[in-house]
Amino acid sequence: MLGAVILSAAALIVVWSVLLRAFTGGQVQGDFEIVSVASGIAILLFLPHCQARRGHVTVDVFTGWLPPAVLRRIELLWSCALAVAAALLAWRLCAGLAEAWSRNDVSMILHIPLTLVFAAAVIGVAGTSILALLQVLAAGSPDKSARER
Amino acid sequence: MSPAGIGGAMIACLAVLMVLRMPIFLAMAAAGAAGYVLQVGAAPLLAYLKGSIVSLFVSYDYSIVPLFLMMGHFAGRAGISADLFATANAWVGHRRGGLAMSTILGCGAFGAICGSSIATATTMAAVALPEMRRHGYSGALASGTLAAGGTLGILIPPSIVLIIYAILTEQNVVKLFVAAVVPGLLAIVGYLAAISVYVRLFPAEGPVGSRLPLAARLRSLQRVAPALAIFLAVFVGIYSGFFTPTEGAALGAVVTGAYAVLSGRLGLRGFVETSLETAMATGFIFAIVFGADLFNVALALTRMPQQMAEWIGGAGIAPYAVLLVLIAGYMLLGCVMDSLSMILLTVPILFPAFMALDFGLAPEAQALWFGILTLIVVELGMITPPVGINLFVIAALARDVPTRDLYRGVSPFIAAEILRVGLIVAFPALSIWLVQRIYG
Repeated sequence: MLGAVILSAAALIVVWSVLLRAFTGGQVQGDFEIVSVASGIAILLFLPHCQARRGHVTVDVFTGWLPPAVLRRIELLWSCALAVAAALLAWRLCAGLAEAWSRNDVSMILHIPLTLVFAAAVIGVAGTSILALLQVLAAGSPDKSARER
Repeated sequence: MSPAGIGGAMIACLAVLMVLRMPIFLAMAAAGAAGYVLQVGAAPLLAYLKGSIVSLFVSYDYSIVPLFLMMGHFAGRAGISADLFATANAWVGHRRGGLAMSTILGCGAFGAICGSSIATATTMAAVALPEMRRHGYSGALASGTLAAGGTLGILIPPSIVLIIYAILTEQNVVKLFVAAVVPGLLAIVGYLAAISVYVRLFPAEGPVGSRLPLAARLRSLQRVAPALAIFLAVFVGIYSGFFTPTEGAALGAVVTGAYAVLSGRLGLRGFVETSLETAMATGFIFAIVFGADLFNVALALTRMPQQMAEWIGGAGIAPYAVLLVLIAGYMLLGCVMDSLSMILLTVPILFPAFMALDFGLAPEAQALWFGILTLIVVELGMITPPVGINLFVIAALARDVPTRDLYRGVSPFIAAEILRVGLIVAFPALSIWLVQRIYG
């Protein structure tokens, strides 16, 4: 949600910039930085939602014949793997965050601190990891998985 | 292990993981990470992961993707698809199979402001499916038409697949869009022809509608005005170079969103739902972008893509033979994989090899031509059974249509597409001519 608001705001700023350019010849300084950073943050914040809706693409022709119970097991296994992988990535991103913080990295023109983006990355990736873990745990307790069907 | 051995093992490992139903992006990331560690060790990989996702996603080139997705979802919400369908129907509805043809025309027009296949298929299905069923169209024809029509969302520029291709191969995205125009129109013509042949063979499946008087037809044109205005505002700006594609996408998203609000179809709840749809579509695309990046970085370390390019360039095989093998390979792969994963995975490997071939074209023209061809064959994968994303989308929406009927309904469109691939291969000018006309 927050991601979409940020994305919309960025889109508005760009339109403002284009209009300015059309009518006055000037434009919003470094608008392309705003768009890049904002859409980057939006994308990162979108990631957990995709996991929540199980939106990731899989190849399922070869396993389509398996009984649903087995398929659920497989899905759980990969959710576990995904949780671990995302946790690993989140840990690395924390390191990246710390580095960007200590070096005080900023963008070229507007000096947008890159720690913002790293923070979004950590939230997005760690959020994905936690969600995947929750999905596994939820499916582990029998009454809940029964309700889900 | 030798670098080439590692490269081969990575590809094998990726295939096995995908067959075992691991999410594709995770399979690519895992195979890539393993290949990376085997070649340069774990520490560099951990260092790479510290910043790769940030530098990858914070990019002016990529920011166009979520913006275009948001624009497409706003457009669906604003009822633009219903307007386009109604207008097309006013003009061709009285023909045999007219509602199906209207669906194709509506999809084509909607494709001109939407860059995503799934968004086009779903928004159009919501409008056209009940209409076709109400008028006695068979499930096969109705669902097949929608699945095929959805591909027009991507075949007609703007197109997410072309944007990704442009980023991967460092081509000019605007020129790619222009190159896709004539082939895209050809796709519409081909689909219309497929319908008209189909309803002549099976007249019961697509009954004739009633003819509207000319005055009513002309009045119906008003309903396409908003879509046309959005299209003109965004694409004339982009094609004339007045603003960049990213600015155009941002403008399009804002204008479409504003229109949706003004037309009273987008309230706060609508905005939340649209955001979530956009988030979903964006999330899965960028997960794949991340996975494919890791895989390709590791594969590039093995130097396999370069060696393949050198080998193909030096082997003296007839270029067209290589091209046909590539197309056949894409079609096979398309039966099991989604288009975006295919593009992200294969283009970095195959593009250098393809560019090493001599087709008697200027390098830029050849790159554009290959882009259009790749676009068409991966899109074909979206409607070829057993794994076509569009087929799944439509099957989920048209629950009363058996899968077998859906497969049968989409087959004439597949035939039309194969014919089109043949035309584009035989006449590169179909893709390149317009670009040369405009940009010299």
